Amino acid sequence: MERVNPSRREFLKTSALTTGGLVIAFMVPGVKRMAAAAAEAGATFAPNAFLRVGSDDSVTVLLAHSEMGQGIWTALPMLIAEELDADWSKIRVEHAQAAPAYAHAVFGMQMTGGSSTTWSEFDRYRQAGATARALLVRAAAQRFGVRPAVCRTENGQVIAGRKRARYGELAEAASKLRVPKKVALKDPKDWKIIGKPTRRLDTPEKITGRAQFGMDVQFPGLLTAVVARSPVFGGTVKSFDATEAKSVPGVREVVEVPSGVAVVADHFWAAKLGRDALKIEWDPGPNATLDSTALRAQLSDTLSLTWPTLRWGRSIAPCGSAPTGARSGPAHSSRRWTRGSERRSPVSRPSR
Amino acid sequence: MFEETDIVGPDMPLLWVLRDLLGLTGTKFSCGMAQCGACTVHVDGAPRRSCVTPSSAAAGKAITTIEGLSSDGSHPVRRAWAEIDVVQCGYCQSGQIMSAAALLTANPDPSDADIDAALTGNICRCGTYQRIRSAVHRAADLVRKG
Repeated sequence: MERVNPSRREFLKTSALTTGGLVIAFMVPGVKRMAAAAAEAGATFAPNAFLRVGSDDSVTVLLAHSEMGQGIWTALPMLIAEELDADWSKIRVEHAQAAPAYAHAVFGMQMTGGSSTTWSEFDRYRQAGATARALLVRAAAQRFGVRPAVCRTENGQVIAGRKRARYGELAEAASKLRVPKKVALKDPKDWKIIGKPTRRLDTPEKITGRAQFGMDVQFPGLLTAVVARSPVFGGTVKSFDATEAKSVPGVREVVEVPSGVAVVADHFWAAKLGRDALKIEWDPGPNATLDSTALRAQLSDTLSLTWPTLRWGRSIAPCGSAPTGARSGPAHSSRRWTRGSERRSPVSRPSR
Repeated sequence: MFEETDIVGPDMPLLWVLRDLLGLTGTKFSCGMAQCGACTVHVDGAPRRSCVTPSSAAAGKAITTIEGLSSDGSHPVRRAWAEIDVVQCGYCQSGQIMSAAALLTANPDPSDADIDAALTGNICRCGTYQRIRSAVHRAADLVRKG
């Protein structure tokens, strides 16, 4: 994937939903064409949207990262809802599709990992929420005939004196306004949502079996493949006989693939039975004689070696604390540990 | 629906009839050898590991999956699960909930030890066990209060 420079990417834009809503999106050089194509087709496809405000007052947050139990299905919406002063009960969440706009703000590719989602998105998601709020306030000010400065926002509404408007009523008008170049984020002392214990938004789907995991994706005509793999690391297929496998009801095809022989069937069980019925002659390759006994002996030998002790510290002096009998090898004499002090490393390469 | 001929032999596990033939994907496949509990369903009210339950053994019996526990989330186990925010990644939770619901039917006031014994076969890699136990107690409360 092309590495996206975050400093060039922080370019907010809006677009209208065909249903009359507001979309806050980030433009990325290179996806303009895709967005334009979608607009021509009249679709609500928004390949770079971070949030959509619907005319039904719903606020849909698109996650640039995967929820896998760590709680970002709730944490990222909290960032947007905070700055948007959204009605928390109207928050909806969706995983974003794969698109350059969703590249990790620090690592430059679309990914989830390293406990990095919340801190890396802390500014971007709040910025998206604050931008949407600014636009909704201006739309309301125009409608009320007041200055934006006299409007405040609360629980999904813009309020000016006795006048009130719901975000859903303002979304379409807001989508036609020019995006402000800069919006101020809240002072942390004014946070009402960030930092507060909040129920997970993914619970309802996960306790009813409705949540769709990767393996749950189904569509008409979807087949399932099961691969028979070499019993030896690095082994390859010499030849195979698929006659019996192909006679299993539901098996559609048997094909050789780089990792072995794949049986393609209407469903898992037919594919599995097909795999079991394959007759394969393997070329075991260079690891033909490798077995558990040999591996265990090798590990046992390694355990009995004398292990040197590494000293961690700022000093670049050679390690001087190795126990008698341990020689300084290149593995530890050439490495300079620069963090911590006087910590002893339990993991270093044994010297022979 | 599927045709009876789609079932490949009497040994085809109930799990794959549910998931691949009926499209009920709330019941999860994980270990495939009755070691993790993710595929737990009720067969005539009792918890069963559907990955090793031959479809022939389930024929003519009442099968309840997570989808059928209650369509509106009103089952006491579900309410307790939501209240205590048990779930993390969620992959094992269909099985946890089915085991917990079966336990409460058999034993409306389980002790910690009863809960541990009944749910010991349901593995959670996120480690939500403490909340699961609290939620089972809470569900028992909810059943008592109606």
